[in-house]
Amino acid sequence: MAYNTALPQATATEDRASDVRAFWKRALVFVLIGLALYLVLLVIAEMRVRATGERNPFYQIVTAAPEDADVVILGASHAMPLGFEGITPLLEENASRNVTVLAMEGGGVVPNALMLDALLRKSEPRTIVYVLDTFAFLSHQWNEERLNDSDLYARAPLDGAVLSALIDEPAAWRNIPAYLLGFDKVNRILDPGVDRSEAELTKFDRTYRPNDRIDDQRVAYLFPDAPVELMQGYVDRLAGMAAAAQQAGSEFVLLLMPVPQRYTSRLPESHQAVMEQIGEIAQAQKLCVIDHTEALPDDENYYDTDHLNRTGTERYVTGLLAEALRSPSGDSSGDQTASLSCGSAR
Amino acid sequence: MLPNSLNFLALFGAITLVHYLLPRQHRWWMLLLASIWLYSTFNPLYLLLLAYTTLVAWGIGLALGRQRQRFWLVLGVAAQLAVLILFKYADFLLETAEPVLRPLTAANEAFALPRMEWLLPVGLSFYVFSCISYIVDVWRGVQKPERHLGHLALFVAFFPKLIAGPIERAPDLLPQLKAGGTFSEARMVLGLQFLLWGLIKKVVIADGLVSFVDAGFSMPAFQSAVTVLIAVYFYAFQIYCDFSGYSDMAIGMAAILGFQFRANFLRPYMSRNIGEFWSSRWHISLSRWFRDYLYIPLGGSRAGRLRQYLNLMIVFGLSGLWHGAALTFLIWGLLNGFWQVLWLAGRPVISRIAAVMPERLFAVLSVLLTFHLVLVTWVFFRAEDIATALAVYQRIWGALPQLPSLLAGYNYTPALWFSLFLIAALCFVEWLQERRPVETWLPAWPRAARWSVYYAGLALLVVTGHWGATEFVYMQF
Repeated sequence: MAYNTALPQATATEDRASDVRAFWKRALVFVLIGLALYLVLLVIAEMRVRATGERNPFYQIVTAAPEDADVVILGASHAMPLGFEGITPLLEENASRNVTVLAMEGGGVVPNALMLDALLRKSEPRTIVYVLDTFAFLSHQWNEERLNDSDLYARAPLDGAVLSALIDEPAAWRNIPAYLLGFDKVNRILDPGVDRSEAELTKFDRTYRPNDRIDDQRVAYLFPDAPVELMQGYVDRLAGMAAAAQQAGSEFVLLLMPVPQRYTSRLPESHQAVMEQIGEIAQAQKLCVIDHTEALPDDENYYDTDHLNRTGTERYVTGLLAEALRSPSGDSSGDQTASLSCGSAR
Repeated sequence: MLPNSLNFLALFGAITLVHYLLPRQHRWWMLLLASIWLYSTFNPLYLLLLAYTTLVAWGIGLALGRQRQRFWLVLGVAAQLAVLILFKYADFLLETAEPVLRPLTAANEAFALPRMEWLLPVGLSFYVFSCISYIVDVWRGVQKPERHLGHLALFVAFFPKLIAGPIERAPDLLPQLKAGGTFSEARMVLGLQFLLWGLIKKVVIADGLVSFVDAGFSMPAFQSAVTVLIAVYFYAFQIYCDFSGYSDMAIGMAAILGFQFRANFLRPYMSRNIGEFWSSRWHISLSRWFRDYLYIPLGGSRAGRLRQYLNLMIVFGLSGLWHGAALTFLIWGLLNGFWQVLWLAGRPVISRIAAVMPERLFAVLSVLLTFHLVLVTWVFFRAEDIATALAVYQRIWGALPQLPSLLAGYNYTPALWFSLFLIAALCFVEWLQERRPVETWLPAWPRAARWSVYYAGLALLVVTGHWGATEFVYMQF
């Protein structure tokens, strides 16, 4: 059997020490030139990100102008339609306020806390609305694991506020080298791709045709079999977010967005347990809780099992949500389906 | 931890540094610890199997050293194969036996054999075969029994080859590992070239083709014929780049550490006949393992033509099953065996055709024919089951008359064009290598030109690499 023709036959003697030193010197020069070339790629990638990442939540934080710091909406995928094409301007027009939507798909409390931390380092929003999804309090998947998803940072511009927030969040430490080196950005330099929210946007004009099997699968996906004890830590994180916002002089509002009844009826008992704990937090910290869960029960308002489509979102932002935002205390009394439970507001 | 991850590559840099800082007599234990730790990152329980196979090989080797009795040989090989059968084939055998036994039982329809449902440890087939070859080599007297358990453990577990080969032989590798590896600039540079080329094959080409292949092989009956056809062709290159990419990386890492592995792939799709493909170009270390430890002991070609054909079918059938416990792998192996038999039987006719044809034309047609014979078999290798494989053939065959118009009207995305470009570039590099290996002329280039080639390769990796892949195709075997 022949040795690989490409490799010299094994030798018993090593190279002379002087040859070895010369080799390592050349290797060092090679590495240094390589690093310089990588830096050039990184700069190009950073410019690409800043030119194409307007929907990325980190991009929005980094580039936000001071006058944008009015209403900031955080949350998971249920809140994402509020930031879709044409919806935010509609909400701003109806609520007479500047709105920034930083929601992210599968974003639990921990990624949202990171986002809020970075945000508060850059600006002082008047109102921070956190869209509540109870599944986000019951699994590592939507929290620590999501935080360590490199996709989250692939289009995040390099910025001191984001870096400081990453340093202050122990669960995100292992991403700091990747964020600084920007490998994922360079790796997507030719095709920056889209944020997940942009992928969701393609479904926005659809209307869902109810299907029991799909509904069951969706709830099972959102609420994996996780120990309920997990929620205490995540509820505490929510309390920490509220405290940080209040300390920065912002009003912190909890919002339950509309979802269809066929979805709420399938939610496991752990959903109620989370809601009870959040209720206690809201009471203790005097948070405003706005419950619009039952506001849009018809399937024509949803593009899939539980996300508002364009029709539903337009109805919502021109109606209940605009009304709630116009009145920062959440005092949208009247005959609408919203059941308000606001402790106090500024 | 897979070698196509950035974490692994950083760690490998650190291992190399420590390796050369240590005195040569102390390098083995550092490499052994690194190998064990890296393997444990898949699942710490796998270490139990690795320890078992190593201890059995070590103990049997020592026993054979004392008394060269066939009993020890049979016991050693059986003890190694037992692990393979239990972890790899038990469920397959139970599943196959179930419908056969069902009519014999009173319960009939309700009859079901229990399943082990054990996870197949990564690289099991590779290190079991290494251990078997060690035992047989000791029995044959070509390898002295290794007394030092640590050295033998390193031979079995050496991380560059552990999860997907090459299947190295003890007489070649053990002395090198015991010597601690020698540093030479030429070998270090070649090692880095192999590592870079292997990474490009795996991360840029193979993983870039995955989505096209998956699309065509997922419910082929409902896919367009062109999508299925593209999937079949792309799979030939995906599996080649995936597996040979890993082998190149393994050879490169070993060379960087001062060791030398045997060649495992030599431009297989340039083969002019199926015999050449299997004997000296594709997964050479496995083909030679089967040749030396099964085909020749079965009688090889010495016992007449028919017996040789039978031996080939046995070897290729078992080789198929080595790849996976499924009927699709068995059919893949038997088909390849059948091509071999056909080629051997038809050699007089092929020689006559070659004599009347222009040499170059014959060479090109031979390469194309060999490639397509292999391509046909890959369908069984990739398909989930026999029905899917047949559906792939059916979909393509049924659309053959309309194929030109279907190809013309197909939606060629930029990603598809890029993949086609990469395949064309790969073929060009292979053709260049076939004519005059890069290693023979690249070192003569000025340094600036050489380094530019390396930086271009690195840039290709960084900018277009698919770094999220979580497996190599062959590590599951």
